Amino acid sequence: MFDEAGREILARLRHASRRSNAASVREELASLPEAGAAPLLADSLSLAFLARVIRNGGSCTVADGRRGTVDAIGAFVSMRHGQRRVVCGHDPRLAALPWRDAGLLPRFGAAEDGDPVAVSYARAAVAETGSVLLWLDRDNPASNNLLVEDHVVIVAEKNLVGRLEQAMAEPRYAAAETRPRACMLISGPSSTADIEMQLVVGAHGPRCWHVILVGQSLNAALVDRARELADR
Amino acid sequence: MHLDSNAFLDRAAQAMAKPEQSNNRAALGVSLPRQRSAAIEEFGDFEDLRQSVHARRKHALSHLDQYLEQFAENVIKNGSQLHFARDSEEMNSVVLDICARHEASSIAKGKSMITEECGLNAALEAAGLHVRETDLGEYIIQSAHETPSHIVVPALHKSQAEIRELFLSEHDLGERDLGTAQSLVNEARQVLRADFLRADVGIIGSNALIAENGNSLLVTNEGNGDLCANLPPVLIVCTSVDRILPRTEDALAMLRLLVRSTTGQPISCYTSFYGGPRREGDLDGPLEMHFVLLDNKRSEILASSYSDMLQCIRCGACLNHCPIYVGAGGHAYGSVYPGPMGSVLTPLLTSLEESHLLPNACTGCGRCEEVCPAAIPLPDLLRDLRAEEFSHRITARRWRIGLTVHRWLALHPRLYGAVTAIALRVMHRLGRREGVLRWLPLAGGWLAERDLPTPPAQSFQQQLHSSADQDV
Amino acid sequence: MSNSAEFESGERGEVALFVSCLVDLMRPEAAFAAWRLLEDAGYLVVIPEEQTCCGQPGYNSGDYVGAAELARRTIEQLAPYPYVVIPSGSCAGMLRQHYPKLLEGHWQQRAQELAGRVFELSEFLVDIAEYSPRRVEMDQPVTYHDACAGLRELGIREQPRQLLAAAGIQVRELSQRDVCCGFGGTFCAKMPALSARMADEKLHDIEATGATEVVAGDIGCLMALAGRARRLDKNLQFRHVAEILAGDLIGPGIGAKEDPSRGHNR
Repeated sequence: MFDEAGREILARLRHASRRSNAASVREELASLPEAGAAPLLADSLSLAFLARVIRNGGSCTVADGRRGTVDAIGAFVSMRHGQRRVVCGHDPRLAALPWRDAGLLPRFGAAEDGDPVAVSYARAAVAETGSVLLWLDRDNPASNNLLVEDHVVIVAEKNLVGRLEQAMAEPRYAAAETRPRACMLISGPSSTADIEMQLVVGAHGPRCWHVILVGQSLNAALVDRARELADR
Repeated sequence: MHLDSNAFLDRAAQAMAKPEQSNNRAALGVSLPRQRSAAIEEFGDFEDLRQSVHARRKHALSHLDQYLEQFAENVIKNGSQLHFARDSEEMNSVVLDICARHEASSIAKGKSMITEECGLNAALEAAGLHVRETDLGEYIIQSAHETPSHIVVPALHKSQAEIRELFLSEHDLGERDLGTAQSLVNEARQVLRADFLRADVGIIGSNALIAENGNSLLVTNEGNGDLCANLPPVLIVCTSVDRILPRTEDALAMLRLLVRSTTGQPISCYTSFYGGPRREGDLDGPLEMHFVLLDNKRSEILASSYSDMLQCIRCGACLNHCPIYVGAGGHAYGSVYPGPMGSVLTPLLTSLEESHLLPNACTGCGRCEEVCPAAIPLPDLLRDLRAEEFSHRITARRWRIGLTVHRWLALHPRLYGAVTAIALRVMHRLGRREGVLRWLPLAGGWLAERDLPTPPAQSFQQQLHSSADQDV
Repeated sequence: MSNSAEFESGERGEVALFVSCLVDLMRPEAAFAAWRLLEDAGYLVVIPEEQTCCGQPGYNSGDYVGAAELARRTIEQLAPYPYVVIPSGSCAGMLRQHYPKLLEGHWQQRAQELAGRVFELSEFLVDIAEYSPRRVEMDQPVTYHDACAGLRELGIREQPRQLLAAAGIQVRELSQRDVCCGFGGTFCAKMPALSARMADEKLHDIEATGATEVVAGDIGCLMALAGRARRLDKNLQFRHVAEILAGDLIGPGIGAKEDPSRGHNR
């Protein structure tokens, strides 16, 4: 675990540390003051989340079920690319969508350079920051988040939480055996301000980040309200 | 670490003489503080957050040995490999070793200040490897063979026109306009995509290491770091040992401070946690993941009175709010780390002799401390460094003499009164007509750029005594 | 707010006026004005003898040993007084914030004790004395420069503005209020070009407000700005806020081109 350099560094750090026993370190950690999250833009998690997504430079729609979801994906894809091919990971929720009903042709696997659109299904989403959480695994390969021009992310309303810590608190994430190799919180399209501080999208990752919020009682008016809220 | 800090004044003069660069910095010095202010106001109790994160980091730093052990255990559990480097040379040779084992020829790099501190790119290139910086700002300066001038906006000193010229000459893509920032970014995207796809090794930095699960936090807006972390078959995370935090939630609290302080955003576009190589069933991701943890004097700093400096999260807010950084520009500091944080860190990582001007490039205004999300007492640390200079006789002789004389006089008030009475009388006579003095021995520093208001004929206390005498 | 009409002279007790070395040597007008204001507010003003320097120049340049000597002397000198009032934010900050950092053991305790009695002038007049100055006829547009130490170490921002408003003077605010003017004690002599650039930014900001009268609570900043303004031939007047509030507007401003030889006799 510790090579020669590591042992030497550890010794130096031990010398500089307080040398308390493990139990008292744990106790001290537990007693540290917590801190607040950013305020939600609205009382309703869905409204707060969508407003943040818009402010972050993303676009969004809502859907009330599986059919609505594929219709929304289809509308987005044909508007942006005039074609119907998308790539998806192996998330069973994606496989279960009625793609053909919207005339869509999904390929299941990892995106390749040149693929225009990938569709992902978020593990969770955070209203505080307008973020979607995606584990990087077979269900959602990293390439799908990064190589494409447009990234469509489906969020189930029931997976929406208020703050970042809640999204990362899944028991499966805590154990090494069930934890994914990596995860990403995505909160906007790829952007940069490196050229005289002008904000430009599409730096290396997707230019367009489109979020579809799915829930039984959701309707389009919610997006209008979110847009108003985002502009304030 | 490559250093040229003692040329601070000359380089500052050069930077101030270039209006386009000065304008970029001036714009940064107004817009980023405004953005930060707005973000903090929207957040609400930012001070509370700052105190909470400060306490967590202090806790982590004071038990860094135990948290490092916990981190190491989890790194191994995740199937990653852990290496250590005592100094820059060791960091470079460890990375080279890994690359050599994989017969790597092409590297894709995300932004990493630690690798800049170590001069990793030069070491890799000397060994015949092709290294591509993928962060747009870093790519620009790499192509221009320059060094970064800001820790977050490395190409701040380059105008859009210069970047356009650079792309036109560097990229063999025929006739094109490249008249907008968008078109420049599109071109960089296109060109760099090939580098991501062909790289044998991806190298990234880390914003935090999580002891409880062996993960590394990566914060970017471009997503370039994530491309480096997921596409090449080998991933190397290079960072320093002091970056360890106990839990994911501590990293998230720090994240709330970091991005608001850097750009005023509530969160970065990409916030990722990387722990290990491909799992069974994964369709992409590196086959091997390595951590290289650097000490390079962090353990020394931890044991010193400057340990607060290890709380720095590299947000750049102190640079943005420092009128000296804005005036002089990052290159003046001649170090990987410029601005107020660089003026403390550079002497600690190198030596005061090699960087003695930096702690003096400060008026003590305190704006840096005010905005530092890590609550580092920067003006105090800078003054402590000046105190070390004074006691080690690094401070210029004329200042040491002048201050000693002044102090001695101040301890002997009657002599003080007599000497100042003479000085005032002389100076008053010389400057009475103009209201200012334009020439005065020993006052060359002040008079270089400004006149000296003519003193009164008598000091306040002299006037008191003379009127008291009259009353008698 | 109260004014002198309510109090018998000196009725409210004693304050020590610690003038600060720059005021003593370069701008006695500010000391006399501060004296008048404190008396007007009903206090008996005592001027401790043999004032020299609080030790800031040496402290900021890293001579901690020398500064500590001066600190101990100053603490001793100011021990007898219930209040110590200083017409300088940086000097008040030195005594209040930095003496306790500089000293150890029982001297640190004495420094902490002194810190409880030390006030910058405008801070004292507003927060302790609740003083309302007399009306001042000011025909020039005025701007106020917040010196860094007073602003950040002592939190002085509203008090001088409150006093000026009560005197009937409207302040035109700078657009970059929190940015240093470039004086920084020895900094302006060590790095003159950078210091001048910072001063130019500040002067630019001042001119953009249309103000021609520049007021602050620290003589160091005022001297540095006035000196630069003269070098650039700018038509601006610089005075300490005490001078304005005491209605002392007849003599020339700091570094102004007129006969500055008039002292003020009491």
